[in-house]
Amino acid sequence: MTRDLTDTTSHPDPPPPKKARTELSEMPADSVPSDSTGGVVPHDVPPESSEVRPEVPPAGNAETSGTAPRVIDENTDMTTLTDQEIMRLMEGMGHAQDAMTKPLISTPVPLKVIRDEYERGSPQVLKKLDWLQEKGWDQVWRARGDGDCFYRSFTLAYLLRILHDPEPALAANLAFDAIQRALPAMQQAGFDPDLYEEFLAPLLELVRSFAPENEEAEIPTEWALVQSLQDPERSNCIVVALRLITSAYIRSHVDLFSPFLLSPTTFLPLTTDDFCRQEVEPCGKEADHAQIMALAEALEIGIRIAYLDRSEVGSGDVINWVEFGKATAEEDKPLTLLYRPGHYDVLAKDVLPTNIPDV
Amino acid sequence: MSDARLRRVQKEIRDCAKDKTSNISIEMIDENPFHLIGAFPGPPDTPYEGGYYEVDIVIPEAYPFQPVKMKFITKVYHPNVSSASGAICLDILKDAWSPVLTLKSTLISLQSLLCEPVPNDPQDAEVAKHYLSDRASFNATAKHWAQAYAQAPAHKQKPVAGKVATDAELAGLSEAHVAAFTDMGFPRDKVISVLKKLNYRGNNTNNIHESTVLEELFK
Repeated sequence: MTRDLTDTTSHPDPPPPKKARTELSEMPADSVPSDSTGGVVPHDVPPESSEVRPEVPPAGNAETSGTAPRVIDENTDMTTLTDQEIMRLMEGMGHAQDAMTKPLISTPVPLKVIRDEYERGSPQVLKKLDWLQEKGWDQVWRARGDGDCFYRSFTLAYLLRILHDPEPALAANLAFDAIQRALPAMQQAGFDPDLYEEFLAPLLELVRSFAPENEEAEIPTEWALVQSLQDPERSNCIVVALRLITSAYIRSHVDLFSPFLLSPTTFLPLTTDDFCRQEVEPCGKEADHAQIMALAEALEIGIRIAYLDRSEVGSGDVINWVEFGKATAEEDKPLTLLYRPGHYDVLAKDVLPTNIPDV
Repeated sequence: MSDARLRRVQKEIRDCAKDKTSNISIEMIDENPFHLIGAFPGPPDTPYEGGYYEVDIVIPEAYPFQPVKMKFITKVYHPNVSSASGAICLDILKDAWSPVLTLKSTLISLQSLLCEPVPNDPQDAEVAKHYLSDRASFNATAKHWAQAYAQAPAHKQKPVAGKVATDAELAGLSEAHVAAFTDMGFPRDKVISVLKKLNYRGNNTNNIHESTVLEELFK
């Protein structure tokens, strides 16, 4: 969901088709990727996604036509869309507006809430959700669907990983050092230290709060973390800081990344500078593999992402786990995210934090 | 949020004032740090050379997470600037804005936009047509505008009595073409606006039949 920052009134021409295509291609067919209710979802409410899931017309809809509209998803050739189909998709975009009023990140909801949204959707997706549930991945911390969801999910997962470590202070110090090691690349990339230090400050402050100098001080709770990250100024600063770390890593590893730097709309190669300037540094631009890999490498952290797509599932691991960074084995406690076309959330197991003594 | 925004804008204004090499100036309007006027000289070796360009700057509530709003106060003849409103079509003022960009770096980008127009993504379609169809005539018009509106010195120009450029020259049209229709009795401003819209310039006049012009003039 690209954030609309443009003052459309100042442009006499219709917006270039590029933008419309971006939004269409990000529109998953079987789900509204954003927080549809920002946390607590009453189960009797039909999923909002019914608007963009035309194969299930809402009850009472006076649709008398005999031919059911076809399913439009990420595999649909955009050039074959009819005007009616485009109109229906555009109506669905109205929900994107809602996204801007949802919390930036929310306290966890049971995975079942996500499953309910897919109740009448693809059987492959349901099978994957059931598999996750079976393996104990039963909680989802949702991020707002505003194009910054990867970076916000990353932040929460990164801080929860420190919180849930048996030794939070040690984990915090390691994270703090890793961030410091990423700074020289930022300066090499030409970013003004005065500017990026200001963006970085809220993240460093949160990391440091797990290793307080005063040993009596209490470390943040999950609730306190979520509250901090719901504050737009702090949350947006952290998003920008992570975007700059990502950009600096890509800019300093041109040979590694250049073959993969493509425009997400035209699929044509972009120069490293254009890619970073257009797809990494601006807020609201979604992260793809290159950005995720760069951030994982820059902060020396493993990330694994459960892809909730419609691909056929074989035996064994039913989910496609896509892994980034070096440390992605279970014992390395990689950050675990859930991906649905166009959207990232944090995926978690509901376990008691090990650093809290049993009562 | 506004505290951080205020701190950042004040710092940007201070830093820009300290920097004597960039030739970019940023001034407050009525002591309001969120409504500013930026200014820079027209880049050398362009039709804008010698001109001085002022830009209206509004700092939005969510700055720096949202782009600054900028438009030219000084009239500019350029494919990516509206010749009527001064509105600017530039990616970093829209979806390519990033919070690491500053007022100064954005004004410098405007300066380079004057050097390198992007006619394929125009703000002013008529100017873009002019730019694409007859570069020499476009450059002449842009220069006339720089002299008429941006105080560019009119040296090396034939002195024109009374003013720097005629209304036909400011529209990038030849006096002969305008006269051909005003001689028929059409009002001069109407003739100029129609010929401008039809891009009645240079070789392009061969593609536009007189009847097309007349049809427009009778509308």
